Amino acid sequence: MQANNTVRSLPFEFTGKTIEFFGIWIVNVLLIIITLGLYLPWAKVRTRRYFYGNTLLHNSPFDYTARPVALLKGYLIALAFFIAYSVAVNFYPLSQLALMPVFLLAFPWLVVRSMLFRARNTVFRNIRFSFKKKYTEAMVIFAGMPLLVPVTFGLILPYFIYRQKRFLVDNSGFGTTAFSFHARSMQFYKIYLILLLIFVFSFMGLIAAFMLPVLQDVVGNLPTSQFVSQAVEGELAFALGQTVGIVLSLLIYLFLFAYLESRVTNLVWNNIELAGHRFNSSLRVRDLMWIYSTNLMAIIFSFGLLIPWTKIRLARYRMARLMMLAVTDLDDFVKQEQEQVGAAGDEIGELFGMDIGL
Amino acid sequence: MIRLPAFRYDGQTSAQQEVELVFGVAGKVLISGESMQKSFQLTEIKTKPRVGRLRMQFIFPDGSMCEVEDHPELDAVLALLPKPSWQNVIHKIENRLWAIALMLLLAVTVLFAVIQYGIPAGAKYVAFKIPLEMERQMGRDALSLFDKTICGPSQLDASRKAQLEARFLQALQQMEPTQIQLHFRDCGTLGANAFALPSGIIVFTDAMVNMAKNDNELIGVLAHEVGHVVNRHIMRHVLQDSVTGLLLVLLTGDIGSASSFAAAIPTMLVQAKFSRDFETESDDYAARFLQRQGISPIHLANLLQRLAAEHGDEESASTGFLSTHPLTTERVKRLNLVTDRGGDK
Repeated sequence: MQANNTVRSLPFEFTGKTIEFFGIWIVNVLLIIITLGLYLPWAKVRTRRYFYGNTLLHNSPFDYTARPVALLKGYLIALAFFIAYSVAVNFYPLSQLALMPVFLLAFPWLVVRSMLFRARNTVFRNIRFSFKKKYTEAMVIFAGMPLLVPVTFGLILPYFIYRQKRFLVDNSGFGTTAFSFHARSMQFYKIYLILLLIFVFSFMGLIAAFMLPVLQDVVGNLPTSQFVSQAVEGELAFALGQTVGIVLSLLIYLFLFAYLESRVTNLVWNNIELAGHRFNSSLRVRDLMWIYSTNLMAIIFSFGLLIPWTKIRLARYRMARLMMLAVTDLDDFVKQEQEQVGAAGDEIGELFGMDIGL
Repeated sequence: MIRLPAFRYDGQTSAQQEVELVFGVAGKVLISGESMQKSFQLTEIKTKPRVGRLRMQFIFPDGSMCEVEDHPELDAVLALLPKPSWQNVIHKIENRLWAIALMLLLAVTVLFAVIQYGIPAGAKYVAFKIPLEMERQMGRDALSLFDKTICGPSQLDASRKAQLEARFLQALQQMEPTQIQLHFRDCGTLGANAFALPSGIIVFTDAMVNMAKNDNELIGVLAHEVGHVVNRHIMRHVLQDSVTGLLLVLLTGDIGSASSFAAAIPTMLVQAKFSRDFETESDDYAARFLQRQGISPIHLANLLQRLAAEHGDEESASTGFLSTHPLTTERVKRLNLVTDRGGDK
């Protein structure tokens, strides 16, 4: 037992190995293809168990306990919805508009069900995580606020993101102990303001990079005695400018992505409290930018074969930069009685590309 | 008797307890710790399928769980427990290098076969089962989208249009029976072009009509577009693209991450390849039709070359893989081949 008021840093660590995960991944790929996707739930559970089980806090692993059969049921329901949606949108493009309100209303429900399923199936030291079913609040945050984004010219967006994160954290629990969220909305506004400034300035730079060759091209095309060779040079400069422009915009995109990802992740983790315990996340923009860009290259040039390596690498980095600031040891969390939860919400959300979670 | 050091979690609190698991006493296991002794039948123990080198979990009927690090005698213990899950066979494969190599080879072969043959064949089968009628609304929406954005009413003079329509109708009667609707439009920025829309709508731009040196060239273009309709290319395209997209996203994992950004590139490559195959199929359809009509496919080849010259065609190998159409030189070569064969007769 630790004395009161002493805070210990307990490290998170990720112990997955590339070769080991490659074996799991390639077998999954093969079995998914030859079973026409039916193996997907088993593949997903094996992958998640590998990642959860290799994530250690203070040398205790997490565990993912979803049963593949439960996932399969949810997955088939989700697939039926997805096919119906694809068919409707392809044959009647206008039906997309009609389906919008349906999506808007279904979304909050999906968020809650999906969080519920994931929390319940995440286990640490034989104690399950939990999630409170606040459907009304979810409706306000995930269906009401998005409607206000265009009306307020996006000004409400950081507040919306803040409320989302608060909702996800405040309703989560470990056993009977609830998490709480201490960030303020102004901190989100600060991140998005800087993001906007970087975006505007880099965009101006990009326009300069594009416009310069175009101007040269115009000049090169002026009718002079040697207009043929000059025009060719101008075209070359234009092609070059285009290539540089594409590479630059990709880099800017990656930078903005890395910036937002690291700042928001750090802000959220650094403001989570669990019975007096706090967390510290210190992701750095340059590290993430380096990892994302080299991961992207690795995947492209290996025709996808390095995907396992990129995932292990990212997980290792994230966990190396996360720790728990514990005020006591981790022995006192108590189990909560919970009911069974179906996987349909989680699977529907995933197939439609919803990106929820911390 | 086998003794394994373990961590015990009772399932009521998150407390961690160092214990020893003692196996081999009359089909029982003894959990022995500082302040507790518990014994269970071996048949009551549940284990989970093994994944990688994760710590082994023994789950007991009272809801408690013991976690065991990798241990030389672990396999001997597992042999005593109830029949393991079939997934442990998969675990064995995942952990042998030669098996991984074999799986890799198999996966690449199967993936190639599925994308090259499986998906196109499946899409073709399904597409021909769906009546063209089903595309009606889709076609109407597509045409009105063109009309609202880049296309205006045709500026061709009435007599030329009427003459061409009559010529086209005559040609259409010689083709397989399909419900083709012909439209002429003035689509400035599109330049000389013709396209087939869902449900058998075929649109010619004024620039295309004006570019043709004779009507036989336009008949060739018409036959090419009818080839798209008759072979149900739009429906097949929709089916093939969505299935391939879904497959590649499933294989590369989660949808919203940076790796799916990378998955977009192979998806684009595969979809462009599908599109090129359809163009070739339509060219072949057009060539066969022209020959039956006693028109040389060389007319279509001539028009293609003039189009390429106007559009400043992308005749470079680097864009070839992403291109939705085969290289003009390839298309012309193929059409000429048909012409040569026709000449032999």
